[in-house]
Amino acid sequence: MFREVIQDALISLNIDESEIINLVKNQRIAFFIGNFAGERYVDQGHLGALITDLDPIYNGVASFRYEAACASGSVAIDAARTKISAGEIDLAIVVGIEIMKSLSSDLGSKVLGLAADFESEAKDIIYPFPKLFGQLANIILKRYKLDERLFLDNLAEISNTNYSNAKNNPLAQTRLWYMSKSHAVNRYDKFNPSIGGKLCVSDCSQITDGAAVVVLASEKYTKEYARKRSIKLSSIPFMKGYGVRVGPLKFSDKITQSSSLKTILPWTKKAIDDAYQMAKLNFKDIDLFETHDCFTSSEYVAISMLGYCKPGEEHLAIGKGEIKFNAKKPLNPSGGLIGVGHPVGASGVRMMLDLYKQVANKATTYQVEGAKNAMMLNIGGTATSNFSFIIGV
Amino acid sequence: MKVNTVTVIGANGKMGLQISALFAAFGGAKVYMVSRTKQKSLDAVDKAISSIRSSAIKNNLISATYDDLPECLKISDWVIESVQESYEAKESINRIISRTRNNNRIITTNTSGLSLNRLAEQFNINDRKKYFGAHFFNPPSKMTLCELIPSSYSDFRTQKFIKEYLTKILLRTVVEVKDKPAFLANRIGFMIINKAAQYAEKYKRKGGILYIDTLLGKFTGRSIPPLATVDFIGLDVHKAIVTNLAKNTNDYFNSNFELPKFLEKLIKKKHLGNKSLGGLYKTVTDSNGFKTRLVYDIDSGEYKLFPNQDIPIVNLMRSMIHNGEYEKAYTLLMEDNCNESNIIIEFLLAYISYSYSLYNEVTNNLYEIDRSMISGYGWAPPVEFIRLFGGPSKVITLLHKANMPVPIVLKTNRFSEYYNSANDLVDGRPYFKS
Repeated sequence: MFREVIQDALISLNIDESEIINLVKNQRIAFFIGNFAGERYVDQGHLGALITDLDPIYNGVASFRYEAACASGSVAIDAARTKISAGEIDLAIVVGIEIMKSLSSDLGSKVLGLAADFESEAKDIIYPFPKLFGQLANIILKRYKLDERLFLDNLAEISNTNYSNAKNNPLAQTRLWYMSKSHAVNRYDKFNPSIGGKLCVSDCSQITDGAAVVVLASEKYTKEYARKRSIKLSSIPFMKGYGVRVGPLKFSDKITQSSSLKTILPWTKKAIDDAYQMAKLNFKDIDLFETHDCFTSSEYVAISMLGYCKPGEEHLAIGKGEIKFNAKKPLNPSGGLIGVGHPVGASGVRMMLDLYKQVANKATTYQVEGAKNAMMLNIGGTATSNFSFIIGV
Repeated sequence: MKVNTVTVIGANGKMGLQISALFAAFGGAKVYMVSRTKQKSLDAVDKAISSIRSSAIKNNLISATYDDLPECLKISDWVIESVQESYEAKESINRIISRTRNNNRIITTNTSGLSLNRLAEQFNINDRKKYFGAHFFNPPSKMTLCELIPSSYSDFRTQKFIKEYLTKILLRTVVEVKDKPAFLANRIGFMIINKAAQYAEKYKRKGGILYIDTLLGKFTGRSIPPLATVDFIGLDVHKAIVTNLAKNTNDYFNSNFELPKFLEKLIKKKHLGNKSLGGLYKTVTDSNGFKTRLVYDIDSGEYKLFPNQDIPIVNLMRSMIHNGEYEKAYTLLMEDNCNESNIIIEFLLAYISYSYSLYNEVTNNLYEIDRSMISGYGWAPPVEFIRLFGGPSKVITLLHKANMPVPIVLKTNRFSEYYNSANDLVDGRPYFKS
């Protein structure tokens, strides 16, 4: 998988071996590998160095692994962006990868628990993360004084929308699975059991093996690349803004910190606001969003943070169909983590790849017509490491 | 036209109940599940719910018996016959259907290879127009292929509607094929599988079944080795299909449909595969609950522990496939010259040769051949092996060398054009496993 995604990316970009050799020789290329827990899932750490296994042409290249739980892909993107901005390299190949199906779901959930404060939030707990995001659902209900039936109906709608969108994405894991609103509202049933408090299986993203690649380039390299290939420079998407914020590791600390605020996850909101500010854009300028729906409750709170509505009014946006694919600004047109799958270290890169496809008009069967600007939110842990990026043309 | 009400006849069968679940879940249709007894239908409803893993479809599934059938047939927009695979059984159901008048309904049969023209003859003119083969593959949750077969009486507009419904609503990969024995995917698949069984007999002293399944394992582009597939299908069903193909086809590969003696012997002993107490393989559980997998030894007629199959070319290729080095693995295979490599190459060449020789006879679309093997069998498509062997002209040379027929289409510009576009249409890599 590691080999295939890199080869596919270079073929699709029409970057040949001689160009790579030249870039390696002049130390103008580097690899950034986003991965959460290779050593736990497949007994392989040191993933940066794995690149030398692919081809001798990569000997001598700078290639390292980056980790920030489910935002490992984004921290790799952020490191790549930084190195290009500093003028140290011209081409950054960012790979997000995770193999998860090597472990049973019980053992796998224990590994995922490492992304929380393990001692206090995950040790000896089966499925710690569904339980933590189940707590988030309880907090949403309490802080926004919502009707529980309506709230759970909204979560079912989020799930159903992601599965529906995934049906149009040829790379989505769930594209052939059956899901409907009536299945998702049918909670605590044999086929949709509780997995974390009020959250049921239909509220969860999928355990998946997966990998994705994005390639970032300096302005100088991009101009040369476009000229050599007779591509219009203005058609190549670029990063317009980013926001990176880390909040308290413990979920309970986050909630205590925000107890007097309407926004439940203020550090996540801050990352989004930073990205908007840097890009000098706001909600009305964005054509679509890809958000981190590891659970329906995390997508629910993202709706207001991204700008669809004020905090506490998410149910109105959902009720009006504002997150659906045919709405003005679809949320997760790809199907999101729930519909596509969530190979944790790869998800941030997958999200950015989807933003790229949308604004480059290459998303084929799930293309949002006329997309010019797209935003993503990728979180690690219980919204501890927060990354937001805006890509546009 | 809307599909609000569906009747599935033979709904207690493995395919009948899964087809019922597809229509109830993805189609949101009310489905009458008809079997011989009420209890069988009630059990089938439960199994259909489990197959789709959702209680949300429960209210859409109604258990029924043949006593209810006349009423079901009157009110149904689509009637699906999924009874035993024989002319006798299917024709008798068709006669019952034809006794009930309903000019608006579609009627399809889930036959895996019987003649549509012959089956259609039981109907009046109106029903004949709306009668088709719609052949689903097992399990439909993984194998999305649905072969759509018109008879010579079929109405084109109805065919268009069925294709669109199966594709867009039931998420099937619909391949339109001609009314030929076993249609497309099974004709290719069973040639390879039965040839593998013949070779297991031929090489019974070298490890027989396990030897051949090791040589044609997942690294040759399939989710299950061919002889393990026979257990999944059922030895009796395998026999019915290859017997039909041996009798009703007449080409270079016809002898590959002759059932090997050891399969006949196992069928007589009622060792029919996973649905019975074993077939080509068998799992035994001791008093401590410890499971052991055994394989049938053709020579002695007994089940034995897995003999060691340490075959260097297989080990090397598997390791390369594991690393995503597909071209390297197949270059090595071509350069190797041991008996095992020759067997692997022979099977893959036979796969290419037979698949594309069915162009025109069964389908007029090259892409449909590749799509069928992916979505019906989970096998890497033949075009992927042409690529791995170095392209069409290299394959033509290899076929000549192996004394196998070169499909006419392989030498045409049409094939060159298809081959050049195949990279964008078909990604065979996901079907190789180490």
